[in-house]
Parts: sequence; structure tokens; C-alpha cells
Amino acid sequence: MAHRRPAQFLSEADYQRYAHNLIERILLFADLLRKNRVPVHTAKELDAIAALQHVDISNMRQFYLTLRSTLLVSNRYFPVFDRLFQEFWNNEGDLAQPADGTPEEQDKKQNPPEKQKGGKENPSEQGESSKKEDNSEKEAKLGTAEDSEEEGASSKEITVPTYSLTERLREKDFEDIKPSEFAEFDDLFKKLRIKVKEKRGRRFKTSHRGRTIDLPKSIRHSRQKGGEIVKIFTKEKKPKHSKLVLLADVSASMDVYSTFLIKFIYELQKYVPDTETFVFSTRLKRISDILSHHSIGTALSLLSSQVLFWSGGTDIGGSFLEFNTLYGGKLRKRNRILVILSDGWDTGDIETLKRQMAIFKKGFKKIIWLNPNLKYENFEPLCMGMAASMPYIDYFLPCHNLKTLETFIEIVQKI
Amino acid sequence: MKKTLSIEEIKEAMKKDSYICDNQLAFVIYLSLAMEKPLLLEGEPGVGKTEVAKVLANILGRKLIRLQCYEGLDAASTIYEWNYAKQLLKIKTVDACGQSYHLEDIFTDEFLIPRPLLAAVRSKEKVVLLIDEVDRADEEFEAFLLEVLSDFQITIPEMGTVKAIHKPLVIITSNRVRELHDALKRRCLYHFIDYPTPEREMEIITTKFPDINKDLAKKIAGIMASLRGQDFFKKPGVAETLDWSQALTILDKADIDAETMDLTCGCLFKFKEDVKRFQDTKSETLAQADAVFEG
Repeated sequence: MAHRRPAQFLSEADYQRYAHNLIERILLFADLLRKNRVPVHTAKELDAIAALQHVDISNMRQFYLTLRSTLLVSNRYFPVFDRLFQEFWNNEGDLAQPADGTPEEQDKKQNPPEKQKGGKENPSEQGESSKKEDNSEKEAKLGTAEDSEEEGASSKEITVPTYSLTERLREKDFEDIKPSEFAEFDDLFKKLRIKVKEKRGRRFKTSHRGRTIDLPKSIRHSRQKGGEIVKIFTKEKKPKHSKLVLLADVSASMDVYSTFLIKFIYELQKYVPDTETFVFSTRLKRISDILSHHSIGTALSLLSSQVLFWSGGTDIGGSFLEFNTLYGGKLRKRNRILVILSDGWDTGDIETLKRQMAIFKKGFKKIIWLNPNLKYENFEPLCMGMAASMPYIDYFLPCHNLKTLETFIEIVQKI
Repeated sequence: MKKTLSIEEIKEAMKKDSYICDNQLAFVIYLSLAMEKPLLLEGEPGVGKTEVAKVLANILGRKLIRLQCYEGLDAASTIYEWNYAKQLLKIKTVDACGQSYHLEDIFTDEFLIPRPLLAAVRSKEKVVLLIDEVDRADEEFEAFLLEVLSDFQITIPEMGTVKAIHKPLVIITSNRVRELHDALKRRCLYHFIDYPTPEREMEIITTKFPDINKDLAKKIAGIMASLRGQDFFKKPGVAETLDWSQALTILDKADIDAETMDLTCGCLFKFKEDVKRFQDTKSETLAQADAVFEG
């Protein structure tokens, strides 16, 4: 390594040691960043070290900028970086913005982070850095508990007011949502990015992006041009996605949730092709067609006029039996995922339910059960219907707010 | 080609080209030139990310090759494409003359249409490659960039690998519509261009419009700083500042009052809600603007 500046002042031996020490310190610093959940890739560490030979490392500002531009990948991490940099390299001055102290930095100066209490300022000693490490480890552990708090602090710069509002709504239990918030909520539903993972199937379709030449089509097209292949068509594998079958419980016990869940299903059906939806309480009804209306308002009013058993009792087993006899043959396929939305409160026959669940298990690719009661921390599937179904379920997930529904989508994408 | 410019030289040269850049940006550009690494610039719209590349090309005396990204961008329109029609003609001609030909004969330079990335790599002179708004392109597109950015080479299966004669200076800009992939980010140096400080903004205005009244420039910078502190759907960037300054110069205004603000609000805001908000809070904005430089 040839650092221009220090070489002028130090003897060769000293310089070697110095450079070595510096590189070590940079690696330790990168490690400290990682412990504070700033992603630093090994390639970036190498960059940082390589960059040193081009800069004047005795100039703290240049050194700071070098590390910042090489190690970081987003300005989201600037505040954390600044804080750690000042602590680790014992820098007093404000390097980030000399003439322009951003509010965040001023805040920081007024209430220095607790972390500073930990390590005593002591230049470039191994002991000190390990102490810092301990500290940061502690913080990392603490971090998991105070996750949201720390996140909030570090992302202060990029948050816009609407963000926090959405965030709040996303985590709000459907139960607590006031009618005044319905409109915002509907917007949020629309923004849900529902996308099922596409797998390449075995069949082909013509596509500009495709890499294989579609010879039959190219030749067919050439016939118009007197047998000359002028345009070469390409094809790609047709995407194949898992299809969904949704069984939604609309009995009285699910009342608070069913409207929201239906809205969710409406969006789901719009984006995931070939989704089949059924509602049940004591009986079962297919509502895929109703939900395929362009306006959700129309769909909901049609639902209320056509589904007569809304808010009724629950006979899960009976409804599942009805599903299996009427639609099972057609819909029970290994490329379909069965999603059941229910709290599991059942007044029907448990044996029937068990039998139907066993049939489901055999017929479907995966069974996902969404239960709003899972939000309670020590919830256990004790009610008869739930307990009987548990052994057959692949994924048991909560569904009481938007965030949990997003988790559900993520899981569907992975299957 | 002379050695890389120093930080001060970069700053000076860019200033001459009427781009006022702060020390941080100048330093990162210097580092990018010295390390021959791509530079990823992020920042709010209208803070002059694209302009950096243009000005750099100018001061370094290099050609600027620009790749504007959009959704659906593919390899054929960014790296290279075979000229099928020409290949066909060639085969026909050779056939008609009764000569024999090898398949390799039609996969040569002659039938290659270079697109920006290949053009930048193959260029005989040094170039600046600007990959603008990379976040607009599909995620798959980023994968095409990886080989170019890390090794400055492009592999064409039929011909082999084309290695850059001179490593181009690559500037990538992103508005952060979506998060970029890590693989891309870690091949670049990173810099975030923030809104300028009021002092620097004033400098920008006076550099771009040398004739402008100093007090007016100061007032504009103050108002912009105050506006950016408020909650707008789309905050005005430096581009808007310059538009507005120009508008005020054309209107021959020496001072900004509520009426002028009403007349020219179209320069600053492009959304109905923002315009309304701006008009509602005019007096507060003006009051705050005066305090900006004092504070």
C-alpha cells in the first residue's frame, strides 16, 4: 500500500505498521457498522482501502467522505454512520455538513446518544475497539427489542408525514378502524403490491424478451413476405403461477373482519389470475364472479343481496363437505393453494371437519389458515374446529391488520 | 491525458461551467476518477444529478454517452443488437453469387449495432457514460449492467469479450423510485446529493443568471429553503429555483411579493394541491424566508 501523505512523515517501518493498523481499524469500523445493521459488503471494504491511496488521510474530512462514499449504499444510513464515525475515530468536529448543520445533527449534539457513555475516548487501541464492539453488540441485542424505535431514529431523514400515517394504519387492527378512516384504508388496499411469484412453465408464448427463436411463427410470417424471413420472432416460457382457492368465513364471530377481508380478497382476485373465492357460514357460496366486478362497491352490494347466510352460525365441516362435493373435483389440484380465513369457532360436527381437512391435505399443494385471533400473544388453537384442523395446516397466520396480510402475500410468493 | 484533476480543480472547472458543487460532491467525483469506479448519485428530483455527468463530460473534454432508462428496457436496446436484415441480405448476396460462406462471416463488427453500453466500452477515446434514472428500468436490467460496471467489458457470445480500451467514467443516477439491487450498489461509489444550502443556492442563481439583482437572488434562496421545510407532495428542486429565477428576471421584478408569488407559482409547483398550499401559506413563507439567512 502506498499512502502518499503519511509516507512523507514516517519511516518505512513505521509506515508499514501504521498502514497495517489503519486497514485493521477500517475493517473493525466496517464490522461495527454491520453490527449496527448498516449493510457493508466485503467488496466495499476493499474499495475503502483501495481509495485511501488517492486521498489525503491526514485530512479528517476527506477520510470521512472516503469511507462514507465507499462503504455506504444509501443515505438512509448516513446518520448512523456519522454517529459511529465520530465515536470510532474520535472525531470532534462536525464533518457531515460544515456550513449546513442539518436539524438531525443539531439534535444529536444536544442529546448525545447513550452509547457515548460506554467507551472512554482512547485513541487506536485494540482494547478500546473491542470494548466498542461489546457495546455495539449489546446495542444490537437491544435493537431487536426496540426495533421500531431505532428504525424510526435512523430513517428520520427520509420519512415523510404520510408515511407514518400509512404505517399506523397498516398496523392497526381491523377491529379498531373507524368509519372515517375507511377511505384511506381503501387506498392502502389498492396499493398492496400483490404479485405471485412466477415460475417458468413448460409451454411457450411469443415474447419480445424471449431468447429462443419462435421458428414456426417466423416462418408463418415469412409467407406474407414471399418466403423471406424478415422478422425473427422470439418466444419465452409461459409463466406458471400457483392459483389460489379462498374459503372465507362470514359467520357472526368473524363480522368485524369479514368486510376488510373481502376487500382484500377482491384485490387479491384482481391480481392473482384464476383465484376462486367462496364464503361460508352454515352453507357455502361461490363468489368469484361477484368479486370480479370492476367496482368494489357494486361487488359488495351484490354480495349483501346474494349471500343470505352472512353473519350466521358456523358449520365449518359441513361447508367444507359442500365444497368438496360440489367443487372439489374441479378445484382440488396440486397447483392450487387453499387459503382458509376463519377463527375456527365451529358448531358443526368435528369428525366431518377432520375428514374434509384430510381430503384437502391430499388434494391441495399447501393449506394456509388465516386466523384473526392469532394476534393475541398467547393464543392457542383450543376451540374444537381449530384444534381439529391444526394437524392438516401448513401455514397458520394472523390476519388482523394490513401488515399481516402482507406477510401472507410474501408467504404465498415463496410457495 | 493528464493525471486526474485535484478536488479543487474539479470544483473550479465545474464552477466555470456554471455548476456549483460542494466539497463533498467534488471529492466523490475526484475519488471516482482516481479509482476508476462508477459513481452512483442519488437525490431528490431536480438537484442536478444528470447535470453532473454533462458538466463532467464537458470539463474533461470527453464524449457523453447517455442511456436513459425506462421500464421495459432490454439488452437489445442497451448493449448491442445484430442487424438481422443486413445479415439476411449478405447471405442472399453470397448465395446468389454462388460463393460459400461461413457462419462466422455474418457475426462480425459489420453486422453489429452497438447500443450505448457497448459504444461506451468500445470507444477509442475516453467517454463519460451516463446511466440516467436507473431505478426506472426493470430489476432484470440491472443484471446487464453488472459486467460492464465491475470489469468494463461486454461478452458477445458470437464474438467473444469486448474489453474497454479506456475505462469510461460511469455516472449512474437514481431517484429512488425503487431500491436498487445490492449487487449493483456495491460496484459503485455512493453519494447522495442533498438540496443545497441557502448560501450555495444563492451562488447557483447568481452564476446561472449573472445579471440578477443580488438581493433578489438572496430572497429566492431564502424562500426555497423555507419551502423545502414545508410539507409538499413534491418539493421544488434546484431546477425549479432556476426556472423561477428566470421567470422573475423576465418579469423584471426586483422584489418578491404575494402577487408575484401567485403569478409565478407554476414555475415551482406542478401539482394542484401543492399550488393551493403554496398560495395559502405565502405570508408565512415570506416571513420565514427573511429569517433563513439571519438564523
